[in-house]
Amino acid sequence: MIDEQGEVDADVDVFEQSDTTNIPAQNLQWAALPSSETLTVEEADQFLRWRDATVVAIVGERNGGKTTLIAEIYSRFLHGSFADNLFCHSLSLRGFEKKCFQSRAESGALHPDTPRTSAQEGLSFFHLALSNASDLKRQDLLISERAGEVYREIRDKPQRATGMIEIRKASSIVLIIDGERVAAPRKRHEVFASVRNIIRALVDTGNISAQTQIQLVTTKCDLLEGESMIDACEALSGFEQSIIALIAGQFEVVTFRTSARDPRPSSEPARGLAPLLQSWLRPKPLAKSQYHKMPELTSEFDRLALRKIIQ
Amino acid sequence: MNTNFVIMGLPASGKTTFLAALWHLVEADETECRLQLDAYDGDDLSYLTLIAEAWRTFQPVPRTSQVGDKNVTIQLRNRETQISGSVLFPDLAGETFDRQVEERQCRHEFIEDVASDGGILFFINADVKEDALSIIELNSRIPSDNTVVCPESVEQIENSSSVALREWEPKLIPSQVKIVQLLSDLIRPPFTTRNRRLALMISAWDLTRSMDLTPSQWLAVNMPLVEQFLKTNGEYFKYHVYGVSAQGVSLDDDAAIDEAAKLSPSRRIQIVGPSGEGHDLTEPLIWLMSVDK
Repeated sequence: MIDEQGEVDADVDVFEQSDTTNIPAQNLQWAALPSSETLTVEEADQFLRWRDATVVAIVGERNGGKTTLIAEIYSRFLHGSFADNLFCHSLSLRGFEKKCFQSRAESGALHPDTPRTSAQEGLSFFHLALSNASDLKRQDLLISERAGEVYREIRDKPQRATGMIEIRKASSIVLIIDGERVAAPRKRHEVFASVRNIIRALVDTGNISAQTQIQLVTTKCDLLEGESMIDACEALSGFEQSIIALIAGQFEVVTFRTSARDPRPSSEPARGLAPLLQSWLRPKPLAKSQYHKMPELTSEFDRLALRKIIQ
Repeated sequence: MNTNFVIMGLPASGKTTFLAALWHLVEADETECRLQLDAYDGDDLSYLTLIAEAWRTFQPVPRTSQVGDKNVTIQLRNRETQISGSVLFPDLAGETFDRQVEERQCRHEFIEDVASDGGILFFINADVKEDALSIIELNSRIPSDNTVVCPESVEQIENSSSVALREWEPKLIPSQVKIVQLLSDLIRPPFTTRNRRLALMISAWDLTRSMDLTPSQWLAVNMPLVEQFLKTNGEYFKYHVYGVSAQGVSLDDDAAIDEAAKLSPSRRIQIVGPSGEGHDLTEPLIWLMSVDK
């Protein structure tokens, strides 16, 4: 019912009044700020339209250390410059922090861990902008984050690799070789098979740019030290050579050995991650299409375009 | 010279203590400052009176979260140029900045203030804790049986290891990352992007004396992410780092308070900046207001 002043006159049940009645007024005071989580595919696409960035695809089955690798690279910048680079910017600070927390003393845990990335989360990207320590030149990285289960699936159904946008866009494809499984003789050949199957599936899609560098990155290398691991190390070197031979002539293959979180006292933190990070920051080779010969110009419109370019 | 400053900083970073000491400094005119009070004038000086009284009497300065956000206007005159004007300091509670990081929200009014700011005073408390310490780093500090250790280290390790398992939540983001998030927000919409002057004020500077570091060195050692961010974003920020001891003494130390009370209050204030050490808290304001030649 509306009274003479035009106001609604209705019975009000105070017990049904929710706390949300003041929200419109509060919203007027507060402005929403952009998220600081990992970037969705749409956000990454939007970012690439604004600023050039190098896309790095991190590929491998679960528990191989994909996210730990990225989390530890970010963590190094909390201590100072790293790999001759300074931290410049990140649109995904909270995304990094979520992944780092279980490795911090504040978590109350006794041993460092990294939360698992679930398949439901889909594909997302960490953003990290770095400046070269000598000339402060900035470079942006978009580093993919996807659950290992999804990469497991492409071993069974290789055609699913076709839709993996991070593979198409990547300047570097990092294939994770889980050092812990390499160290265990009964699991060693399965981890090699996993990496080999994934590479075959990815290469056969034809989606990888010829300029893309394939990087075989062995993680948890602290578990591959000592005399008892000589066989494991030889097997690993043999496997790396077999992959280089497998895709010889198609892609450049580079190998890295890393130990992101060696738990031993006085061990070097983030061992092997500096050269890996620097490899992602190398100048991007020009795409093949930029080398295409200019077609023969026949019409007046073609010539007009050429004259404009020369001017 | 009418200027609107923006004051930023996480909770308990020394924002209000700075304002209390600044008000006493310019109003009492006990030591020479580059800016002096032009007129004892304003709509309402009760907030400044309240916080300055607490400051003078060695009481904890009321937190902005307890009394509500305040806009403080002070009429100042440049002693050298004799140019006068009003200077506005919006004193926002540190919790507002926590909310910006944790809930990704900020006040529309703050966005407007930043759009027209004449410089930013960003406060960081020098009393930092190792909130980004890794488990591996902590474990490496646990002494072996034949190592002699100081009792403080053992206490820290015991305290850390007795913490129950915690789930991640935004409030657990380390302080230096929160500060970088706050500064990063200023270089993206909805904030207006431009080159800004930023005075980084390391408060409780007296706590760092034994470290024998300059304020810039302190930043590099204790907040390396912030230092790297500012160094690499010269396009957006021109910055100076100052060490400020506005309180001048620990409020828990009775003997030190008795000693400090013998001095004129303005002499309790210490500020260390690019041009040396002194009592003049208006030095960073002068730098923020100066124009590039």
